[in-house]
Amino acid sequence: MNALALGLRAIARRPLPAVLTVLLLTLGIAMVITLLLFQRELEDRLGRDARGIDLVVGAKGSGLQLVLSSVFHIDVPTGNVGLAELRAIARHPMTAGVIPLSLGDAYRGFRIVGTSHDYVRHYSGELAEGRLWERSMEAVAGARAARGAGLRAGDSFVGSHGLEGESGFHHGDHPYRVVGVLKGTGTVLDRLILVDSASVWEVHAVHGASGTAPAGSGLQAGRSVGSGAGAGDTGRGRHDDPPGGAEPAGGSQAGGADEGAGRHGLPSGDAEVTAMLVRYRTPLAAITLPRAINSGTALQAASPAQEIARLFHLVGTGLDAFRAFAGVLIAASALSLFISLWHAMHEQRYDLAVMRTLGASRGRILRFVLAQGAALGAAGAVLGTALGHGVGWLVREWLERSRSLSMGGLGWAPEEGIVLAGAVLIALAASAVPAVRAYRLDVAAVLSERR
Amino acid sequence: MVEVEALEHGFGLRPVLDLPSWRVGTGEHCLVVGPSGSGKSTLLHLLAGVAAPRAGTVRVAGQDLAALTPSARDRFRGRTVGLLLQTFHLLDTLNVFDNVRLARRLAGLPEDRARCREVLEALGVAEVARARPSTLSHGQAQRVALARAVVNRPPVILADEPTSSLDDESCERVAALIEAEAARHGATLVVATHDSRLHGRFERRLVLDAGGPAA
Repeated sequence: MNALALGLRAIARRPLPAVLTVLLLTLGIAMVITLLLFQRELEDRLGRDARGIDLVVGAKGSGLQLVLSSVFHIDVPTGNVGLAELRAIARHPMTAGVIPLSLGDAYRGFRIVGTSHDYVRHYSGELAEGRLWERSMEAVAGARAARGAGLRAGDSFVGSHGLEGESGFHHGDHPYRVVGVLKGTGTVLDRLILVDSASVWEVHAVHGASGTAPAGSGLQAGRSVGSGAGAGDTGRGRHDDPPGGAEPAGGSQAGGADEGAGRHGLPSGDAEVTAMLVRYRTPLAAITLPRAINSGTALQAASPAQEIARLFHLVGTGLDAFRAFAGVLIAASALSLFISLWHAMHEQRYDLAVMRTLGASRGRILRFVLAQGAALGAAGAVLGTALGHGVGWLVREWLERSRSLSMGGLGWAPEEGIVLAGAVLIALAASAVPAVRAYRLDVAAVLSERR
Repeated sequence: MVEVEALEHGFGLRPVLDLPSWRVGTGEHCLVVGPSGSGKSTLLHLLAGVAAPRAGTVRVAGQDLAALTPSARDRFRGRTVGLLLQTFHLLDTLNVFDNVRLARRLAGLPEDRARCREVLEALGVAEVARARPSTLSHGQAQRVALARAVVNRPPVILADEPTSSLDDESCERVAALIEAEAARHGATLVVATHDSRLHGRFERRLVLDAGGPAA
């Protein structure tokens, strides 16, 4: 029967203050753990999605919006840009490689992205079944998109206008055929449906002819840079078969994936795309290229690294507020623990005195009280961690259902150990004064009191 | 054996005990009597080492308590002194058996569950070993408190007002029980009381009055 066992029995005798103390500590720790997990997961996930992408070039607008829409696929694009303008950047000596992206449609909430095979290679995508697209109107589903939309190789589906899925016009006369499904990569690739750029042009070609296309929801041959100011608009437009069948008005590249692509990774012709991902050849490019694009062209260049940093700075204020609130909860729990133990030491003074008469040293009495504080602190820390992970799991499930940013396993973060140890240390600190009071107990005086 | 020499104790400026010399030999039983405030309980606390005298010497089982460090004094007390308190002071967070077991544990002795059972059986409270102290009758609680005091076979047993709240029959039974337990282990027994019913039972008596031996 050690100090901890005796302490636990003493706690059990006054459950209400103990429960309140643990509850406060649990909530505070849960909040800290949840913030910790999400910040870590968000940084990790955004970093993974943006890895190897030095610059995003698209239509003028918000740089953050351009990065969010083109790298992380969680916002609407700023508009469309002509390939002719992008080609000059792709050919720039400081550019090592480019990947075009054409957005505008979705299927069951999963974005359909017109791109090249380089996009799959960039995220080290591997096929779980089937093959990559080889011609227009062939699609490859990312792992999560395939699972969520129920797509398998051989299936057909019809995309709809807009990036939110079901709200737009359905391209009933332009069905895609799934030719492959990718293995999970833990990147943005998992929640996308990938097609050839030409497929997107084919689906939206008639808009260019009729002039009724929702700006930015599709890509039109021959439109000028920045013409899609309302990118991502879920407006209705009818997509009839384009004149000339599958041939996009924008060029001759509709024959198949990467077919006809220029040597710099862009399709030939003068069609439009939503954005272009750029990889630098030299670090010097980070200084000169964005400035040259932003000041010398009608395009916008945004660095994912800088925009993520800006995002975290903006989000950081909110996170700081949550952290402060968590701190208040933990401080309140420490105060509650102090008051609880202070009163408990008064109530238990006879027990403490008897323990001393039975041979317990002052040090043992001190440990007995500290053990009570440590036990309550540990209980709050463990329950708080469990609750934090539970909340994390719920939010992850919600994000999964909303088809937006996906979170990983939200597993154990190394910093959690520090949080747990900190909680116990705070509890011990709160117990210190009552413990010293018990340590200094005047046994003879207590035994002389009348009960 | 307990022995005091030139013992003085007080609270602030107020002296409560002044005992030039007093000794109870090994195996002897002694009654300390006197009115309330005469210093009986204070004497027991000094003998138990839970209070330190202002002056003088206290020897218990041949050991000068002042020569021990505080932690050594605590350990010595746990193994050498069985203290029986007026209101029993059983820990209600523990059951009867664990209350007795705790005395061995806190004295730094092996738990020896057999010894705990043996002493509970000897005092007729083995059947309530799993009960909470708050559920016991007054008599049962007193026996459990006595079991806790003697479970370590202490050479010195100190009892503070063990019979003051009992009727005559219970008083007789409890006094006999304490004496029997002390005799069983050959322990020195000091009983502090103002209960006149016990006066005839003990071979030796120390009468205190206003902190000193009565004339």
